[in-house]
Amino acid sequence: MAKVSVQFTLNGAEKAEFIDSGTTLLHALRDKIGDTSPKGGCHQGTCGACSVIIDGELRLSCLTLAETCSGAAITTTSGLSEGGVLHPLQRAFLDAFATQCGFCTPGMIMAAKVLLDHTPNPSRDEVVEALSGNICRCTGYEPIIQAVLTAARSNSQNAARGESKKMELRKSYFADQRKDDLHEIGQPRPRSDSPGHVTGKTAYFADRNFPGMLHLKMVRSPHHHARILSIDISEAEKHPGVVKILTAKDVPHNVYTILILIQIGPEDETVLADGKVRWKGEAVVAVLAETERAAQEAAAKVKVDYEVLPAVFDMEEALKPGAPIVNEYHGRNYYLYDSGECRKVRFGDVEAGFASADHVLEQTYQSSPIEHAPTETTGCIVAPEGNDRFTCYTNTQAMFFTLDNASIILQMPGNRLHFVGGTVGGGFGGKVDVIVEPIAILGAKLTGRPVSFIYSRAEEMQISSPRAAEKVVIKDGVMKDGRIVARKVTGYTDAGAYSRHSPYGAQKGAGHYPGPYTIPNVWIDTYCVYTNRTPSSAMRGFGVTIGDFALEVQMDKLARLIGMDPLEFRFINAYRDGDMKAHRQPTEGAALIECMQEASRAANWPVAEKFMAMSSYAKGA
Amino acid sequence: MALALQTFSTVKDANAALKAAGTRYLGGGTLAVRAANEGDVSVSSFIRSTEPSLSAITVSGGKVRIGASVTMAAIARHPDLSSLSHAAHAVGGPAIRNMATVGGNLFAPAPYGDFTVALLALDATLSTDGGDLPIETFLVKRESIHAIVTAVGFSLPAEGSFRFLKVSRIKPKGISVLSIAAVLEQAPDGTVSSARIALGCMADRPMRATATEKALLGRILTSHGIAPALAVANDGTAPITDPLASAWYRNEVLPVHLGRLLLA
Amino acid sequence: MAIRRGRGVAAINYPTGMNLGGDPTQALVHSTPTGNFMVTLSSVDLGQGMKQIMAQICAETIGVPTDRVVVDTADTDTGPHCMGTFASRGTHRAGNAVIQAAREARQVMLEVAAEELEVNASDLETDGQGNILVKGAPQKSISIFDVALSAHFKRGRSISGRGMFLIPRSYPEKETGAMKPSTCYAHACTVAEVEVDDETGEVTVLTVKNVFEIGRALNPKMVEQQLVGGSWMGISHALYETTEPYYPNRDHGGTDFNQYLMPGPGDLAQTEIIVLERPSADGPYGAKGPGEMCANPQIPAVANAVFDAVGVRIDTLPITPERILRALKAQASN
Repeated sequence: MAKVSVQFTLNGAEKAEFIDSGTTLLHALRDKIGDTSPKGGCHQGTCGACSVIIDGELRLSCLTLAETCSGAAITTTSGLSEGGVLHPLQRAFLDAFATQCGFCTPGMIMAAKVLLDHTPNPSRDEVVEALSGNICRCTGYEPIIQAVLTAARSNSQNAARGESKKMELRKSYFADQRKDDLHEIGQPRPRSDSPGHVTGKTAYFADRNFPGMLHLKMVRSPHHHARILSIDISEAEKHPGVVKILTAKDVPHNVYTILILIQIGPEDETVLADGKVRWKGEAVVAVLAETERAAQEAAAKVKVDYEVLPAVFDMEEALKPGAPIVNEYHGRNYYLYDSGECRKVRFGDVEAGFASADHVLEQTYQSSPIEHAPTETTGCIVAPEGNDRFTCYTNTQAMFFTLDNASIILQMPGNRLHFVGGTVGGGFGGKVDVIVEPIAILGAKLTGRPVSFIYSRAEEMQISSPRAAEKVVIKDGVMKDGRIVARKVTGYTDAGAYSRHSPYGAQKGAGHYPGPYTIPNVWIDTYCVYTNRTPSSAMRGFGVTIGDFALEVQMDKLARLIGMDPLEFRFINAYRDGDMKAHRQPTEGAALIECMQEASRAANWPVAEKFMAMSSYAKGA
Repeated sequence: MALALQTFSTVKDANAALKAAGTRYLGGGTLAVRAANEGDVSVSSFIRSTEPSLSAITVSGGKVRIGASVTMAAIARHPDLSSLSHAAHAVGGPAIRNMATVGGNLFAPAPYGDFTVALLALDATLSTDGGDLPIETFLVKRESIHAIVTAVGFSLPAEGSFRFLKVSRIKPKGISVLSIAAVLEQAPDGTVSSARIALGCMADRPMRATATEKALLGRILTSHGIAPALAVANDGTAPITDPLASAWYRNEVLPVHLGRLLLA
Repeated sequence: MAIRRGRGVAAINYPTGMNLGGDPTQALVHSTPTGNFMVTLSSVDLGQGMKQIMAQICAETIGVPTDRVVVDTADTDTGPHCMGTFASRGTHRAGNAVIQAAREARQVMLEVAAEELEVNASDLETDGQGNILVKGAPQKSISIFDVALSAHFKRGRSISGRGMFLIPRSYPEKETGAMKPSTCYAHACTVAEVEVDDETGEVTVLTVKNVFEIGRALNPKMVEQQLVGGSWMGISHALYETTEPYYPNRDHGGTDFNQYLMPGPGDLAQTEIIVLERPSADGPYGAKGPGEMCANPQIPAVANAVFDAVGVRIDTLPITPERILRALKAQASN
């Protein structure tokens, strides 16, 4: 490999390095020089987390070859604070609570610094423009915009669209149930992790570098559903830099399911495909090599011979008799609950309710899969400790859940595994699937070398589990006076090819319907359906988000159907303390009515006085 | 083969190096380095040239010459190219504009390549060591062109005659649903005397809206006057379908956005 | 061309913690020799602020300022078990575990202080500033610094505590679905105002007014950041996001942040956040989990506002310009 010398100043200090030709500046800074403040969020130039300043201009270090920077002056966020004193931008990000996971923060600060260097007193629009190449998934951008404006000591005179009010706490509600004399609770203390975020010092799992670390790349299925006729790794094994190639036979307990830990089976998914692939993108062969490039090149030389099988993508099609079976471990295209083909809730007599209703409305709602899109992709680095223990630096959302599943998959006692994490660049439910850790640990075990397995942005988008697509059919009986007298909900969750957390999500939906309303007759069926697509799993609002969309659009339609104000219609049906829910729990701690009352005031959406006089505490009014 | 970069001081030498298998010219890196990062192992050698003319902008006698290595940011801030700054500014966010080059933009597949849409409307001529070629010729066969494009040249449009619109779903920066560039000249009575209109995302590469151009001639820019032009806006289009929009949607809204641009 | 304006409302609730319970979290708390407190967990901070909130909960319970508490998470060699950070459970479950551990540690601390001051532990209180006082006689006091030194070097006591929180698992009844999904629920009501371009189907969200009831705002600034960000994500879900734009067709899935759409900094709605606090019976200082709930009500509120503006229902997410335009054309042809 051709080595080239590169010399530049980094935050004012001279740096001279020998690097492999073709190395990006991002890798040179992080892996060679040890400045991990620029983050690798996409390596595509689409997230801005790797932004640095080169000779006064904002650049993406992931798309810049280090050797083109010779003689340049490079600034990174880690170099902004001098003598422990934060740069005004760093201070402003702290004060504005403009960091959450912190992964995008160094790049944001770089973009903001270039702006303020050239435009000391920017308008809001100029700030927005300056930040436009940087993705943040946590904050909604507004706190970041405010931080930059504050740092510029600029009064954004024009309260343009987007400018938001400070949050207000309405202490008048429920004051009788609350003690407000606490010392630390209720205080807006600064976040202890923010100083690390704004200086680029917070250590995420990938901010570690180990000598001799191998890189794992996955060979993935190009087909939605296919039989594997043969796998030929002979060419790939000979490729320079390749250290190990793993196939299904190398995985001690290859067929697994993560919820087995809470007794939800059957095991239905393979770590590496064995005999079949069931979705486009499924992992088939893992390549471990000295460099990412060598792993990619070798992966291209793995030959897999497939016999393509009919695939099913639509939930309705999948549930029809004769549909191709997606997953033989289930033997049918839906998850079999102890209650049968769906989770059921039966409360009152829903058919009698429909019969008595003035109007019956049945509507269907649908969604498509949604990506968590954390700025930090899923990944881990595993280091053998030399004593038959393996330390796994990971961004999992669930440490022991992942450790225990890895222990099962690898048939390795849990005491051999040491997981270190807890500082994660955004999750939103996308990092609970135990996908990268087991195979990386296996690679480290079989090679005795540290192993890095980090999803590319494309893998994060299309390979990691999305929020499931859902279909929700709601049938309601409603009276002219606004009372909903019957609600029947049939929910379908598109699990994709494997269960992961989806049986749990569909179950959660059953517990959530019919929403925060008291309805005397309720019938709920929720199905978890298998199709030949990327397995879905948990995401923020799992089992509820799409259901709430369906329920609340349905509520709007019902109100309009009977000519009633949509907000007043909700007051009529809102649950209150003591009301029996469909799943037979009495309501406790309700506060829907008060939220609606406050919304009525805040949005200047007046409702009748009797609704403003209602309370969640008990029926009355 | 590991990746390597070869730097040449002249375009001639770089062109010679590009004849080898597995080579790709490196402009700003926004396409080429990205492809390598994403696992495109077909390229093992990046070639670039540091010849100064590649980075020069010259404007004289109403003629513009922009070296292929000139970045979008450099165009956007050039005082003599203020009429084009909007189009250059439409490419990416600030960091991308500091890197993305005119030369790279010429090769960018839809939905990228918004500046090339502008160049098509401007009837640019591309320079290579092997001679010049009109942008339309280039666009037809760009996949097979291995010579380095060294510069683009065009006549500076008359004051107020160049219009550009990029429609995007994300503000202020997002890739194109479509983009439209137009060079319109009007007679003293307000009628259109010449029109050259280019569209982005309405095919797999920038295309001329020739039917629209014809239908605008002799018309005034009122909603009535442009109606015939909008009616043929989709003539010859074959829009891309991508995560942003389907071909159907692009065809549906092209006349709407074209109308707004013409009436602006 | 017409820009048409509409508004919509939605009201929701959201369960705190893993559905049906059965999701334990443990915590350990101990003091250092100089009276600082370590909270040891295996819980994960995704950016929501777990570390800071656990520090405030521990500090409140022990009776010291928050900066005297260090949260060590997440290491499976040292941190006790936590089910994980998901299902709006982090603050609720780990917070309760930290309270239990901190109470136990506080009790030892007060016992040591009682020995030093020669009073009963039950007669002592903390001032929240790092001191332990005799109730009614505040001049008689000892610093927690000195108490910790005494515990370590004089009295051989470990000022420490173990905490565990578990909601026993509920098993749904097969035929009726009788079950206990959750012990507490957060609430929200959102009103969204939109403009719809009826020639292109483009939607601009002008304002969202969100009222959230979250039990207790343990740190109001951190609540605000989570709710503001969640509100943005809700709008994003409503109008932009999907990995499969032509679902159930698998083609044209986005693979980068150019193709995977989310509102940019120039697309922000004017956002208002109002918080109500009805403490939950089993939450740490009454807190519920608002982390997921806060991104939900904007979706139907925006959908309803789009209908209010242009009179078409888009019942499939996301509500793209294309879906709106198709519906408008279908409406016009009817």
